[in-house]
Amino acid sequence: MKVKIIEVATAEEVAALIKKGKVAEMPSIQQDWRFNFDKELKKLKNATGYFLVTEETPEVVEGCMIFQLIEKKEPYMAFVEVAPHNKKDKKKYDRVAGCLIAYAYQLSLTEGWEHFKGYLQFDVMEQNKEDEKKLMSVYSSKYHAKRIGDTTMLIADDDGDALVAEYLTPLKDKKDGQDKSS
Amino acid sequence: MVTEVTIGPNDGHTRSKEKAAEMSALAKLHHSKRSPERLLKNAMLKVQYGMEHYLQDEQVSFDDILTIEHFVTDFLKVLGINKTAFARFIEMDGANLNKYYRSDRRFNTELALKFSHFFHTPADLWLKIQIKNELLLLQKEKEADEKYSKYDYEKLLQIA
Repeated sequence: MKVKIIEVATAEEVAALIKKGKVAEMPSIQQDWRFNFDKELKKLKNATGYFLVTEETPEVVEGCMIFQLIEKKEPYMAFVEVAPHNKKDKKKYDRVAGCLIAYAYQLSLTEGWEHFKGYLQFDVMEQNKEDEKKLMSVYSSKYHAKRIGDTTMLIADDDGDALVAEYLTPLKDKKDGQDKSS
Repeated sequence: MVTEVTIGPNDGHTRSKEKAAEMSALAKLHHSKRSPERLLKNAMLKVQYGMEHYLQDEQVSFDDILTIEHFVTDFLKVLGINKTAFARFIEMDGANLNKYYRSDRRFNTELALKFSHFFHTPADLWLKIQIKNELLLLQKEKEADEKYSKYDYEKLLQIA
């Protein structure tokens, strides 16, 4: 899936791709990621790993996402992380997470079963409850997610459409004034 | 410490029975409140996103080709419209339209524009799928050519 991310230093659009990833291609804590995507993907049933790379440097993983279909019916975003070099003050590229989450929403429509079609769930679980609240707030404001349970959030229907429009629609087609950062 | 937007790792299958039941009930409730327009839109988007993912999937081979007719059929199934009615609405003769589906006639820009307006999809999506499928066919023909190129009398007679 071709997408566009933003190079923070220049504010320029950069062509990128979201690709299905094999276990061997997934990043790990040896590469300073927070988790071992390769080991986690192996453990999960009905799960597929995706990563985002730029077209210019396809060997460098900019972000990862694991999409799971619970009981082969229920879309669930099991895992999202951006590369260490895309975090906080070191951020090289913007919109990486947004593109991956929007793609997961699209998968919820193509892979979801009956009432789960277009219904993407995920859980926000941090050790510190305050951090959990902050992360939920980020997902609400940036990725149109709504809280539906103690730790569970949902992106569905109009919110999903808005997410796809923001992150997977060509930037030049967008109206002026929209926040394009992730 | 919140690390940017990291979620997980979580396994949806390890949810408790109570939580799974609660989430299922919420999903059904949400679904029951969806308007007919939203249900239709989701069904149409499923087909459109399927087209976009097919287009971008580099692992598709000739044996996995999905034709324009395949996607039209999916869309029409969602809309509850038959192919004859569709052809009539876009001012095409049904038999003529079938020639485009079978590639007896080359899918063109005008047809792409009619399809895109009818199905609310980008026009270039239909043209790009046509091009992708043509390239897959070309690749298959090239492979066949390479497979059979060894059957050449010049090789047998070792003529330079």
